[in-house]
Amino acid sequence: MSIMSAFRQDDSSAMYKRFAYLVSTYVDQPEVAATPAAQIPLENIFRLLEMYRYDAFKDENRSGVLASRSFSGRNMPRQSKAWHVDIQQALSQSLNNVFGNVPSNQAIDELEDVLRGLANDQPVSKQQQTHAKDFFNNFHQVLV
Amino acid sequence: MKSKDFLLCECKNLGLVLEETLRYEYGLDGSREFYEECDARLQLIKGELNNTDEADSEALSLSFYALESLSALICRIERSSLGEYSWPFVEEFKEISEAVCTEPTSLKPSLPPKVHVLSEGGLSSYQIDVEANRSFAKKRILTIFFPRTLKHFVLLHTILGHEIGHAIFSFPKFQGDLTKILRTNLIDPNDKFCNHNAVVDWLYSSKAPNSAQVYLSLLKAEYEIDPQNFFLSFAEYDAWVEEFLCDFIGLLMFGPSFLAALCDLLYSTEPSGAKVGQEHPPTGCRVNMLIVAAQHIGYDQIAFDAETKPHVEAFWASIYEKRQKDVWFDVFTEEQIKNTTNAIMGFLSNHAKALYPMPSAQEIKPLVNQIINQIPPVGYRFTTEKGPEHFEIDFRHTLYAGWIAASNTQFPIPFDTVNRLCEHGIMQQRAIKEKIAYKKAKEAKNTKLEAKV
Repeated sequence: MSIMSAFRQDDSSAMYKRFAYLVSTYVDQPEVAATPAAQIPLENIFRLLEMYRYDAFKDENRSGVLASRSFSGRNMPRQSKAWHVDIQQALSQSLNNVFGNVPSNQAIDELEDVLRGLANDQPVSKQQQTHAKDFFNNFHQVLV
Repeated sequence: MKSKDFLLCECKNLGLVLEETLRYEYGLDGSREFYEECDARLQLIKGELNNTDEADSEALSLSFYALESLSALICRIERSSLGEYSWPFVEEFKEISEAVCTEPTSLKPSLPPKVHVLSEGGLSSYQIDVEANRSFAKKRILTIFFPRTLKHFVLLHTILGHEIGHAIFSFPKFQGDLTKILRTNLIDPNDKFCNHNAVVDWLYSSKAPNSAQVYLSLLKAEYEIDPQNFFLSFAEYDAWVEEFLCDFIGLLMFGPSFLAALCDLLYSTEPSGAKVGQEHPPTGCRVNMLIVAAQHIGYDQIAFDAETKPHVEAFWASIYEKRQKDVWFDVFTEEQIKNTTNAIMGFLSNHAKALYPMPSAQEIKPLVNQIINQIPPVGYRFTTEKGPEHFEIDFRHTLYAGWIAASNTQFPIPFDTVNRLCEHGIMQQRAIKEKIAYKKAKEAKNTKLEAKV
């Protein structure tokens, strides 16, 4: 038996909240954004936007093809809602707050362009910077 | 020591482990990229901890779990240096997995994952672990697990075609495309699988085979799982659907070899084929579905001559005998299976090397003969006009030939021997491939030089 019985609550919202904050600070500090460590929040937010774009939030670790873990009836309690529900809602709200009627795919294209620019240390237009900063700040605030 | 100090101390420890394990050249591709990736993760966690308030338990917990998974990853990479797996197979498989698992990232428009491989105890260790989308990761790392005891059993390794399906499905764009394909062709038009209630009606119907009914009553007696709470408390509907998808992908990627490996491995753990798992639908349904798909593709229609035909027929007979006769297992119609096969084939054809190329009798026959003569099967022929000649052979043809040779009853060869021969064949074929590529590059260089002159 393990020395601890940790019950890990889903921390996806906390993680994305933190990453959104970090990314918003990178917009003003491109030299920090280009460091290897900063590329982790940038890449995570990029993947999140892709999940949103394709409505593809199945992101669980699975057991192998022959896995026959016996069912003990004492498995982890099921979450009352999927991990992504609040995050997806917050993304929709922030897209709406910042980009208004712009189609979401177009807004996501623009945000991803900014993330690419920051990750690759390439220039990003002033307008794109403002939009991105507003969006990530808003997402950080809206996400509970 | 306070929590924050303890975690910072663990960061330091992990930094030392990282230096000890990954600064050396482990594995065939070296460890530099792994080192850089792990170091970036560690730097981020350390930076986050330094900025965390001692009383912020949520942020500390986030860093704790990020450290935990990084620590486990580094130790796994270290263990992969033991090399207790079939590296000829792995080298070929890596080429496929890197081609299909390439995704757009913030750094590059298409970036393949880093792949590392290790062996584990137990038959159920066949697995491909893909790091989740939401993780403290810059570059995705894909870990392929093989059962240690099956180190040389390359014919069974084709089961990884199913696992690579899960890996593909974890990438958002592919997940979107494949979900659409599956829903349109297989799930929505199907009366037994279109939703939770339909599955439960089918599963608990009086027409279900006795073995299924006994198992379900056991679930009820011991865990209070019944039709009302089956998908609430026990099974995962989406996971079951994903299993069917990955079976299609495995078949289309490895051809008949995948079907044979799936039958052998799955029925070895659950001979009745009727039991259900939390993530897995009944094996019998999966096998019956794949047999229809294989027939639709035409794998069993390749015309062999009189010498090889009996061996091929023996192989397919061994597959057909795994088909469940009870119609309860036939959950999808022939049309639904055909449409899904065609659509997934279209999806995979966009990825180099992903689709198993339909073999010809001329390609398979010499390989089968070589195995029967206990010679590693490779692309080789001897003609009086040209002398010895080597040519390229897809390693998946070698594996199919292996299954045919293993099924032949005229010249029986032990299964482990066939596997060893095929493993050696794949290794030698790799050398042939490199020799041909070298020759082509040399010829191209000469042509260029001649053009200059």
